[in-house]
Amino acid sequence: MNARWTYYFILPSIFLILWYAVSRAEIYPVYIIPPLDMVLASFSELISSGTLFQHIFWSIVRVVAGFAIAAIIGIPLGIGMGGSNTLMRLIEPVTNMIRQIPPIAWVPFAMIWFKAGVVESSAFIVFIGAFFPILLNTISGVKGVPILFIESAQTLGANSRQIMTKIILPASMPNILSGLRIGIGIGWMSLVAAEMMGQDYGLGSFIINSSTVLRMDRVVVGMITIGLLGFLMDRMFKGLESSLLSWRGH
Amino acid sequence: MLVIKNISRTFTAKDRVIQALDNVNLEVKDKEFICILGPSGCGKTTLLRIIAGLDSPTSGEVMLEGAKIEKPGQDRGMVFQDYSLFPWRTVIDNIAFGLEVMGVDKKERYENAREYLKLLDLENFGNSYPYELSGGMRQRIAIVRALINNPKLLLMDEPFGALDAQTRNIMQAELLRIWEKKHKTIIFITHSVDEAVYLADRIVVMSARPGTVKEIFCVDLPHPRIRTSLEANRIRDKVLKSLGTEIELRPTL
Repeated sequence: MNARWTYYFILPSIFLILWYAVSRAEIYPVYIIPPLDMVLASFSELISSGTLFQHIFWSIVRVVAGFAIAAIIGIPLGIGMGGSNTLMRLIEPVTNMIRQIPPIAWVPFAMIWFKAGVVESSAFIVFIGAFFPILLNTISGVKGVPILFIESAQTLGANSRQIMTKIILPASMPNILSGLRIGIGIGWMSLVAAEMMGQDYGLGSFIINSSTVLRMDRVVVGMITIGLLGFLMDRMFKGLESSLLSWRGH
Repeated sequence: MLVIKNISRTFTAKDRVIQALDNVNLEVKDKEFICILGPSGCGKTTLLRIIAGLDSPTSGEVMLEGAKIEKPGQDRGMVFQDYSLFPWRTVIDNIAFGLEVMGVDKKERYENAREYLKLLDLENFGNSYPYELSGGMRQRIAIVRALINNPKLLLMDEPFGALDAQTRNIMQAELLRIWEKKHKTIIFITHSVDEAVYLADRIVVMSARPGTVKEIFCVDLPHPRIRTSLEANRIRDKVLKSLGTEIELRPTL
């Protein structure tokens, strides 16, 4: 256990040492590579004033809202499309085309459609980012359910509703969960794009607002916070996966 | 009684029409153990799937106790060749699945399922997941999962095909033990003449494609049978000859 933990810290330590060395050498101006101590000072200042937590709070609210809507629409739609060729032909070309458009391209419309909404406009951008991985993974999960399981259930007396809830849903759960995991990851990554619309709070807004006044140390604080929280969220989903899917063995 | 009447089945693949079954007729008595043998591609599995209601014949009909078979039902249990246990369910929830979809409450279906686990001598594996079990254990559980609905007919599609020879022999003896306890009508598809001679009351040999009933052999030997006895060898010989001509006549199959 101890040895494993040591491995986790090797690369970050090297990185911090290099960063510190470069800042001490004063090769670059502070707006190109903000010095480590400056960033740490900003970090502790933002934590003690509580500002950072306000930014975190609003970002999480937006991401959770966008992600939840993406899951609520994406999973049932994916199950429908995975199970029906007609629905697939009807919807797939459209979704596949929309999916190619990066979330940031939706920003102008998000601003017009949702006005100055504190949550809605950004949640919409997150939704765009999270929706397609959830949809596509659900479809491939449903399509991948072995016919053997469905026929076994039929011979054991299951009706079509029971086949849906007791066979197709649990059998495609591994794909649905990895869709959710990728979805929240991409949703979180869309934060900066989602919060470009002049909001006061949110980690994305914080980065943009800090960069306009050239406070690059604060930009770094925002980046690291996004990275750390994203990492924690991913670990949470990974834990959820391994506890829900313990039946897979290893 | 199961009556298979003039069953034919054709498949259309691209623009080719393949006749899998041609006018198959067979009557199976209650509690009889039937083994079906035949060259690969002779439509054995198609026939079994039609009886299960998973496939429909192009013409002809199958009647179980006077009622026409049109879709899958709990009066017919099926055991597949591949491991068909639901991997996300524990052993006991796999066995109890048939009762669960009928709406039997949890306590009652678990009691029932535990009895079957006991029959298999696997009482300690109720909470295991399929991935934790050997192939032989999985197939035994698949058998009792099909039996818990108390079907009139148990359909088995090469259920031991994926097992090694040693396990296979044990499974055959185990199946006979279950059969003697529960006394179901069994239709069992196999590639192994040995297996058929060891298990069956009657062996049905099917012809190569299009499949039809070629010859039926009665195996009038008491259980437990000695695999190497003279009588067993005599029957095995006859069955092999009947099968052999089928395979030689159509070397491309």
